[in-house]
Amino acid sequence: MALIHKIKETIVSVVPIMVLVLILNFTAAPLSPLTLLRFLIGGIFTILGLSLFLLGADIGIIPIGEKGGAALTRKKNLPLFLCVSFAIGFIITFAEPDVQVLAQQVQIINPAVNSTLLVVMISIGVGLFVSIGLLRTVLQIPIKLFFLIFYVLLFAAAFFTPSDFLSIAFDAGGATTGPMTVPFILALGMGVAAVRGGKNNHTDSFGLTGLVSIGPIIAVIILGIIMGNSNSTTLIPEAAANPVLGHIIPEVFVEVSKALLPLIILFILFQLFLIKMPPKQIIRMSAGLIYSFLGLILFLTGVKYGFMPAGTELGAVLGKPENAALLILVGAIMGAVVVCAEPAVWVLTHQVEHISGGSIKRKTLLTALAFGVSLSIALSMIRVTHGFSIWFYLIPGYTLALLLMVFCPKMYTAIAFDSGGVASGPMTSTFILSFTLGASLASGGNPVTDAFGVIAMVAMTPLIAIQILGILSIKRGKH
Amino acid sequence: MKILTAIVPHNQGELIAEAARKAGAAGATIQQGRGTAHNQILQLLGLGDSEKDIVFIVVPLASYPAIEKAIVDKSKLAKPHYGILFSRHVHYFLKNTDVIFDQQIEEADSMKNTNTHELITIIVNAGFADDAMEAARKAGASGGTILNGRGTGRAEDVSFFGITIVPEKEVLLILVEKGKSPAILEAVKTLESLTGPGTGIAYCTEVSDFVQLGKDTK
Repeated sequence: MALIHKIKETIVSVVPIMVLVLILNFTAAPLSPLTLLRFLIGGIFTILGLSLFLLGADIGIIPIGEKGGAALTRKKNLPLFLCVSFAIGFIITFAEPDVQVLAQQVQIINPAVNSTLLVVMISIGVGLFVSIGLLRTVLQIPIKLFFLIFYVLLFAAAFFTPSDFLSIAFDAGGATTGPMTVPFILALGMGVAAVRGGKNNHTDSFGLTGLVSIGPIIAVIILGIIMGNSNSTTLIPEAAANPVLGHIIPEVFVEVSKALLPLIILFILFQLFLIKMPPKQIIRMSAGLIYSFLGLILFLTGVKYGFMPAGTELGAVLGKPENAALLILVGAIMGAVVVCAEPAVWVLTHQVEHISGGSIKRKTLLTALAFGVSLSIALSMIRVTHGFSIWFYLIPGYTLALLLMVFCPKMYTAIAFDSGGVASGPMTSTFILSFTLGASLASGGNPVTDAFGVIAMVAMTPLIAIQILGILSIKRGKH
Repeated sequence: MKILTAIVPHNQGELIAEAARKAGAAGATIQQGRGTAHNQILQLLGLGDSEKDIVFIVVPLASYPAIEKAIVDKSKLAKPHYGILFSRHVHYFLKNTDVIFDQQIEEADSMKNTNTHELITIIVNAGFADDAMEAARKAGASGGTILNGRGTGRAEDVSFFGITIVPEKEVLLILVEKGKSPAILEAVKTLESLTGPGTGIAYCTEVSDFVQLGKDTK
């Protein structure tokens, strides 16, 4: 049965994290018995939740997005195409809980900023980039050109933005690509590419997620330039307390419901006006949405209940100055294993294998991603202990990523930029982040800048790792 | 020559190709598909799907038995209901610049009476293959495999900023015992997904050397 098969697959990706923590528990960093127990329970929740979510994504979110994108293109109506794609981007972002959290953080930096206005701006940014991205697929403009122009623009604008806004801006890119939205946006792009005849149409199936995560970054940067920095209080990241299960479940329930609601609305609108699927398909897709909903609740509950406290405790022990080398080593291993348990990474690698007809295997992609994220966490840990500016990593890193585009096959570049946004999912923003915060506090660093750095790094290194994979693939044979 | 086709679980295609290669086959091409569930309710709830690899290998007649045996033996190490294997005749084979014509085998083979099964192929608009499968199942089919594809469209369909909008298709493969195909074809004939203009087609071809792959097979 499909569910059992999925559970078997997800066990393979979650168990390594648990093994790593257990090894540390019995050697360098013993956890308190309660944290360990919570971690083990959380692990089981995570495995079951991830399996259910992925099963649901396969038959719910992805087909809905694909069918919607395909049907929209088939209407052959440009104004409709642009308006609907803008609306899709706007709605799913407006409802994304992470974006609302982000807006509240901005208000702390600068109380003059209206948080609703900010959410609207980010949503407009995403909406615009969804329609630009989909139009690009239709007009067949090279995607590399888009990445180059927008990233150069972005970094140029970044010079004029107060540094607090910058960290929020890069977080905004990650926040909009939540586990519900990524599969949907991914599928939308594939749907548009699928009905476009002509050669190489599958190489254009990817890249939309990568483009879309630029939108909110630019939106926040522009806002930063306009508003400036009037408040010097620094942002204190949420203290990783150990909330009880009774608190987490309702919180996660509301969060996931908010993210799911726009998808349900879009599904109904698509069905009424665009797709008109047979009743059996509707039942299947609805079942898929329900699986994803329940799965994501289980998954996020497991991560928040079990993984976050463990991450904080591990970080606190390993962050002590005498453990510096071990911290970097553990960070490297943790990065490699955690990325394999990110829900959106699963969806992306699965779709790449599917679209490429199996010629790009998910294992190959996952290996490259694991290398990339491993490097990013290791580098972040070095920064945690030494405390230098994140720009020493970001500027050379993005320069390299843009340079690699020259040599890399189109499809790999698109996948690389997609996986940048995808890799920094809920696992990273809870487990890795709390680990970093723990380490940062223990080593006397600045938790705010350290926390920002790690997400930005996880979003950057896949661009390099996947493009190098793409360049290597040319030598092995044509793709 | 024959073209050997094996339908096996996802990611097992390479294994089959490797087994065939060791037994003397030249190379294989693998396609991805989706197996339909045996149970209707599971199918409806999306719990019964399984991902499949479809392996194609063109094999000379002389080495066919050895290659078939290699694959069957390999599959016996796996679980029951691992997959199926069948072959079709190849009349013309081109590789590099060599061309092989092969016209006579058909008679010789049908005398051996290995043509116990038929392959029904139904091509419909995307989203309707499950409906077709359900109708076929009611008429006696046991299971099917769905491949994604796209139509080429016609010249007059074109132009949305110069691009051709092509219809998405699903290809449903159903392998059945010889006597069952008329009933199944009759059952799908009246489906909406096959009656409208430009919606779908169905055809039936003979296959030979049908073998069940997996642990319990003889």
